[in-house]
Amino acid sequence: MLFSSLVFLFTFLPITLLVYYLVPRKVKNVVLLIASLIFYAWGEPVYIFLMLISILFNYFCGMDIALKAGRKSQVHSLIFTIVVNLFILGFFKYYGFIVTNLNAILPFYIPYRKLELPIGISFYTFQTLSYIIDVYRGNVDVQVNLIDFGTYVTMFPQLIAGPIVQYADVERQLRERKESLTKFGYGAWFFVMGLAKKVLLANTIGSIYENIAAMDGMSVVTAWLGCLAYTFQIYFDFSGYSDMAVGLGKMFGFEFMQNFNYPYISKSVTEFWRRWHISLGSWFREYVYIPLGGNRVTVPRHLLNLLIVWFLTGLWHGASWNFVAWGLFYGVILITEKYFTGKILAKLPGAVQTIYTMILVMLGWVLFFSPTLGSALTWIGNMFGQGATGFMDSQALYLIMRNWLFWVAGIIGSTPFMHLLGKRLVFDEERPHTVLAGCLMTGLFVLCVAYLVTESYNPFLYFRF
Amino acid sequence: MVERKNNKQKNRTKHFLPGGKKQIQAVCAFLFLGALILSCGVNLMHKDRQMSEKEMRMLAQKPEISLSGIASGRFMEQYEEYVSDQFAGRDTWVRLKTFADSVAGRTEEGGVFKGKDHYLMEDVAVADENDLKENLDAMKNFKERYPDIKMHMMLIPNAANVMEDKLPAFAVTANQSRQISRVKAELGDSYDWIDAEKVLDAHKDEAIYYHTDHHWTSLGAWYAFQGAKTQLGLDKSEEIKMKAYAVSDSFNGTLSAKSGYETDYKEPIYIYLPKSADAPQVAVNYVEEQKKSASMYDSSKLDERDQYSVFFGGNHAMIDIQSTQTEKRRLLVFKDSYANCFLPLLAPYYREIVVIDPRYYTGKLSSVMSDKQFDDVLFLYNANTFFEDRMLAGVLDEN
Repeated sequence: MLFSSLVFLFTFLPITLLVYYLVPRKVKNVVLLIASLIFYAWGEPVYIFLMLISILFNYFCGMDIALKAGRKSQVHSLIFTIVVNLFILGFFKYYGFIVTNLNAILPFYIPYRKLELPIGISFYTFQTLSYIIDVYRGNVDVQVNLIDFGTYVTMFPQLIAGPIVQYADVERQLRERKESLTKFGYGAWFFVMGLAKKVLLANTIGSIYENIAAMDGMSVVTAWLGCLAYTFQIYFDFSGYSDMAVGLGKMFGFEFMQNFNYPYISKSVTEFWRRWHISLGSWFREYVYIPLGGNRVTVPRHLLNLLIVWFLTGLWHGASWNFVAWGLFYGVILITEKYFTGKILAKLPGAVQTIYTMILVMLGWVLFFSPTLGSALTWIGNMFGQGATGFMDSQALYLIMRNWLFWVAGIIGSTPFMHLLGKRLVFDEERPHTVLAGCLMTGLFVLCVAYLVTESYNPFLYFRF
Repeated sequence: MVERKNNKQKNRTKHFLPGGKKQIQAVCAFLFLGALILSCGVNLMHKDRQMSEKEMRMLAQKPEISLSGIASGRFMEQYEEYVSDQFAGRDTWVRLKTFADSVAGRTEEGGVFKGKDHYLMEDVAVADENDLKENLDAMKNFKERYPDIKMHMMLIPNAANVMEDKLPAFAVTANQSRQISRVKAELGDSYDWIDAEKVLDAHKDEAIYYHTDHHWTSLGAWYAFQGAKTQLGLDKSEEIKMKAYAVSDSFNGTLSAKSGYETDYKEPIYIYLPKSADAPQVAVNYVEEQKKSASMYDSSKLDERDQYSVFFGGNHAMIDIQSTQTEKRRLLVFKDSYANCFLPLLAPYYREIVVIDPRYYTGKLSSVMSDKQFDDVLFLYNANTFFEDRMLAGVLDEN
């Protein structure tokens, strides 16, 4: 089920909230678990069994690892659990990719059927791995309550698109958390803002991108506009979804980490990755980069560590070479910034730093959105005049003029401007503008509903991962 | 500072609402819950509708629950469609959305341009190369199979092409004229090309297209008919004088329904009737429906949303129009809905016209061809439908 759907907003959410707040504390997690399973089954009726198996498996493995604490066999249990989890992920997500590539090099043909990707599998596998590894490390207590563990894995606010909540961060919240009217309201505000980002900005700007992507030839400006449209779409789509997740979490008393922190104002690519999909970055740092030795190793080893992490980050996003290319693209840039250009960059004017960052990020998105590496190179070629139908044409002008409001909204929405303005005008501690806030939230919500009722275009990008 | 804050909060606890940021949060909580409860309540009481007059389509109904439906996910899909279609106040929501879009400066909605002077125009369709080639090959083969029958092709340009100057500012469409010329060149000499584009271009400042509908008006059809007369060989017959009569002044067409633009715009529909009572009389046989009528018009459609259906009551797989015309001329027409207001102009000139709409026709064409001795075949399509058509080749190739 999507948050940005009428069934979620006006059937699932009200019923879940009602039951959740009616039942006593002890049963609240049961309600959340059942609701989450229904939420998942709505979009993936068959893969719900895969998820149940995954929960049971990791629940028992967690206990096994905890019981073997201090013994040598503990590490074997850990490796076994990790391998099985990665095997499941690999089988459903990468099987087709691996076989196609093998078929390309092997002298014989391996037949295969492409499997439908279970929604959210990349997210929940990483969550269970964080639990398993932290139990092994002794960072968290083993979870003996199956309901609580199931709730952690399936929790519907962040189930299908993150943030990737590490078990250590919610361990206590699973047992004791506080719901309150003000927290609920804060969550509702977050949720509606996220919904507006997704429905009003991401969907509309996304249709501009779709339009351009379907074109045969394009001018230089059109190629950049298409790339810019996607840049906005993926940010508002994904960060909007994360905002909705955080907001929903608050409604049920949880505090999740913020997943985005205005990534498009970054002054270097290194900074960009501290602000973009923060929960994924911290997961890789915690469970891959640091175990590999991080930066406390020799320089060649450090370079290798970085490349491994970025290869995996790319691959995590999808079973295709252009995601790998996209990941390695960032790996190389980050290494360059770390060892060569970082210091020079810091001396440049701020605007230049941001423009430099955004150009690289946008080129990265071309690798990301293109179906194949070849088409990505064609598009990038178009952006620099190679194969383009001229620098500027009436099509590009139309795209700019017809959608000018969305371009402006995209730029403003990518900066903290609205946030600061709201803090100043609405959320003033001395004189809160309650009426204004209420009107703003209700207005945006009503507008979102209007778009949802009439929508013809409501895809969700991060479903692919 | 901290103390002061605490004091303030203490003071405020006496009130119903907390102060500062918390006040806003509490209000947001009530508003959000209120919105959910309100919409749930209204939707629970809202009765399901069979169809939407405004959008001119059947609405999804509550799906039946079944284990296999749930396992395959079909039930969920249908249920989501159902909720969205039956959402209370749907028409108002659509209005709100288009209003918001127009405030945002968008002049295109669902492939419909909001043009100047209240003109709504369908975007120009671009042909799928394979489908187009298949259709044109089928047409050429068809001509080869019946070399003695004269075949005419009349491809009617769409409003966005003819009235380009009425498109919204900066809007660009694919080049339809070029696509039409390509068809003409492809068909070559085997077909008699009736140039509707030239005729309509000459009258582009008149009301030859509806403002809110994707069809041409009867006036547009009338001009095209005048231009086609010679090529169809009708100039040799005695001219049948006709006059336009308004049958409606409250038409609001499908483009308006599709886009939500200009939903209050009303326009007239005209029909052309022979001036003289001595003109040939016609009888219409709706073959598949097994229904006969003495009129080419269905005035009951004027009370419905899609008033353009007044012509023949809409589209039919096959219509047989016979007239008291004594000249022995038989015409076969392959057509889309653009022909519906064109056929009444032709009818009195022919003894019999068989009309086939390939989008609905499933019968055997060869038996029709051998039953009747046709003198002429006319393909009459508007360019958008023709370039998106995937049915014509199938009907023509049948043997």
